[in-house]
Amino acid sequence: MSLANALRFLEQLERDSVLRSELAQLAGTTDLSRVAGFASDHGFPCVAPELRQAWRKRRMLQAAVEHAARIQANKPIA
Amino acid sequence: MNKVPEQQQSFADVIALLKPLTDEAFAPGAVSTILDLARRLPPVACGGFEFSLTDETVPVDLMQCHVLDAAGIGRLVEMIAARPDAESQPWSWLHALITGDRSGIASVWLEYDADAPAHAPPSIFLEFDSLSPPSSERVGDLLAAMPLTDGAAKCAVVGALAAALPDGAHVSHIGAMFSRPDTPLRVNVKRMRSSTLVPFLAQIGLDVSAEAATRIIADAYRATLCLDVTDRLLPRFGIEYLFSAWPAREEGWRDLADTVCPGAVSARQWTTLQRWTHTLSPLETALDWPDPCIIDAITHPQPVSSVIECGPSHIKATFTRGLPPTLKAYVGFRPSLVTRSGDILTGDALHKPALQAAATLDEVIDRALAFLLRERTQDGLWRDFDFGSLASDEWVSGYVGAQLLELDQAAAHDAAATAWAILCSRREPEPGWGYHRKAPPDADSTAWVLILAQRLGLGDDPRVRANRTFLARHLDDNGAAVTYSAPLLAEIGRPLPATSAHALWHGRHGEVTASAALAGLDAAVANLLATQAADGSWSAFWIGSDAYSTGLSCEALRSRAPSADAALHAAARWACAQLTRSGGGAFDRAWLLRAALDDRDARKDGVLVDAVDALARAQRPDGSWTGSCAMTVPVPGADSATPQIVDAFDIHGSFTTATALVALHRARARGFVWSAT
Repeated sequence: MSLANALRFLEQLERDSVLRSELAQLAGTTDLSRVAGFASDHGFPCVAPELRQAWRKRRMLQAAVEHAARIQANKPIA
Repeated sequence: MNKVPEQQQSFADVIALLKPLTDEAFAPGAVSTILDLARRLPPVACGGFEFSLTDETVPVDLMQCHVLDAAGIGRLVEMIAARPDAESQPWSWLHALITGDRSGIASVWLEYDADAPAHAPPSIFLEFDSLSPPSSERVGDLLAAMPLTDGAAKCAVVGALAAALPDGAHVSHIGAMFSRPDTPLRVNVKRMRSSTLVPFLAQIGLDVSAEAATRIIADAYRATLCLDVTDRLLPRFGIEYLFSAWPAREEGWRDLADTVCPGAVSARQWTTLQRWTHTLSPLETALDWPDPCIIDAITHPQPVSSVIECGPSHIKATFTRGLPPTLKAYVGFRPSLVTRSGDILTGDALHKPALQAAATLDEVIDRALAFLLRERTQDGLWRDFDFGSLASDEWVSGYVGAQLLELDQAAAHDAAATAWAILCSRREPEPGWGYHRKAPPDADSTAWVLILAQRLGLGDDPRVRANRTFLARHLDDNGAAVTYSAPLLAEIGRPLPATSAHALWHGRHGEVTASAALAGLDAAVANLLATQAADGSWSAFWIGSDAYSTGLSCEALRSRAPSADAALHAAARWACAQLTRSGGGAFDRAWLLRAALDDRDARKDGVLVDAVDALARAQRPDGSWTGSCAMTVPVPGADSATPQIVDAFDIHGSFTTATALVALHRARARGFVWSAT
C-alpha cells in the first residue's frame, strides 16, 4: 500500500478511458475504500486515505499547471 | 471488500467543510446539533439548512438530497443497507421504492428536525421530475405504498386535493414526517396561479387568509404551495418562493418577506440568507474532500474539477388559521463538476450523458418554444435582466409575448394571451407599462405591450387605444421617441431622480422610436425613414449594438411603410456585412438575420446560410440561447456629474431565445433548411 501507487492509479485513470468506464461501475458508492480496492485489483495497491491524499495532490498540481498556462497566455510577446 | 470504519466519511464531514459559512450563519449550539444529525448520513455533498427568519432561537434543521440517477440510487441503497434498522420502516419502504418503480421521481430529500428525538427517522420527501409531473393516479399509488399512519384517510384527502387542482398546477413533492407518530404528509404544488389560489383553497375547504400568499405567487419568479395532511387537511398552508437573482441582488425577496411579517424579519437571519453564497474548492480547505465528489470526478468521462456550490434556495411563508404568519429560509449546497471549457455540471447532469443538441431546424424551433413556455412564472409572465435589484417583467413579457405571436401555434398564442391578460390588469389608472410593475411607465415597454395586444387582434380595445395615445405623447415634433417623458412622469407623480445619468433616460432613442413605429405610430415611421445612417443602420441607446435597432426598424418599415424598399435594402446590406464579421452573440445575429432575410437580394446560400447554421448550433440542449442581449444603462456614478454605464444581460436567455426563435422560424418559412450533420 502506498501513496505512490495511488498517484500512479489516478494518472493511469486520466489516460485510460476503458479503465475509467470500468471504474464508473462503482460510481454508486460513497465508500472510497471500494475504489481503493479496485485500484489494488488493477495493480496499484493503496487504501482510501492514500487515494484521498493522492487526489488532492493531483488536483493541486493540475491547478498549478492551469495557473501557469494562464500566466503564459497573458504574457506579452517580447 | 475491505471495510475500514474509521476511514468512512459522513455528512458531518461535508458540514465541516462549510464551517466558514456556518460559523457566520448560525449560533454555535445550532451547528453542533446539526453535526450530531449529520453523522447518521453518508457524505453526499448535496443538501441544505432551514432556519427561521424571525426568531433566532429556533433550531436549524438539516436536509440531504439524493438525486435518483444510477449513482445516487446506489449510494442511497448503500446507506440504507448500512443502517442497523434497515429492515424497519420507513427504510424498507424507501429501499423498495428506489429499487423498484421509481418512475417520475427525480430525487429524495431526507430532512432532520434539530429537535427530533435521537435516532428518529427523518422526514422523507419525493421530488418529482418537473418536466413530466406525475398523474393523480401515480401520486395515489405512491402514497398507498408509504408506511403511513391513517394511510387510507391520507390517500383520500390527497386524492381530493389532486382532483381540485386547477389546470396547469401539479403536485411537485410528497413527503412524510416519519419522526411523528401520526406521520403527517406534506403535499407541494407548483404552477398554481395567483388568480386560482383563493378558489382552490375554498374548494378544498381551507379557510385561511390568502392575501399575502396571492401576492407572493403574482410577484415571485417561482412559487410552490405547501399543504399539510394528517387524517384531514390541516388548517394552514405554506408558500415557498424564490427569485432568479440572489437576495442581495433582487429586492423582491425582502419585499415579500416584509409583506408577510411586517417589521419582524431578523437582521441577523436576513444577513445569513444574503451571505450564503460561495463556491468551495478543494484547494481552499485542509479538510478531506467528500469521497463521493472525488469518485464523481475520477469516473467522469472528461477531465473535470470538483467544487461545492453554496447559495440561497428559497423562503417559505406559512399561514395558519388564527395565528400570525411565519417565515423560514432555506440555504443549500450541491456538488458540481467543472469541465476544462468552464461548463458546470450539477444535479442529474453529474452522472448521465449530456442531452444532445437539436438535430434539425424543426427541432431547434420546437425546443425554443418549449423553453419559453417553461420559463414563464406560474402566473404566465417572463422575468429577465439582472438590473437594479429588479428583474423586468412588463417590458420583457411584452417583447417575448409579441415574438411568440409570429408562430402559428396554439400554445404560443395562449401564452401570449395570458401575458396580455396579466399586463392588462395592471397599473390602471396609471397609463402605460414599464420595465417592472414598480418602475414608472416608459415608451419602449408601453410599445411592446401594445404590439403584443395588436398582434392578438386587440388593436381597438379601449385600453390599447388609450395607451397608444399615451405612447404618442413620447414623440417629439420629428417623430423621435424619448424613453421616459419628464412632463408625463411629472403629470402622474412618478418623476425620475434628478441626476445626470437619469437625464440620459429622457433622451430620444432610436430603438424606442422603432418600437413605437412597430406599435403603429406613423410619425415614428417617418422619423425612421429620416434617421437611417449612411451605412444603412439605425443607432441604439439601451441595447449594446445597432443590430437590434436596425432589425427592429426594418420590421416597422416593412409593416408600416410600403415605399421603404430602398431603406430596407440598405439595411439588409449592412446586416449582411455585419454577419460576415466574427463574434457577436445570438441576439445580434438573430436580429441581423431578420433584417437581411426579407431583402430582395436575399439568397439561400452564403452569409445567410452561415448565420442560420451558427444560430442553430448555438442553441443549448434545453432549447435556450445564452442571454446575449446587453442592456446598457447609465446610472449615477461616484462622481455625480459623470454617469457610470452598467451592462445587464437577459440572464435567463428569454429575450435572446425569443429573438432567435423568430429568426429561425422565418428562415424556415423562406425555405432555409438546416441539420446538425
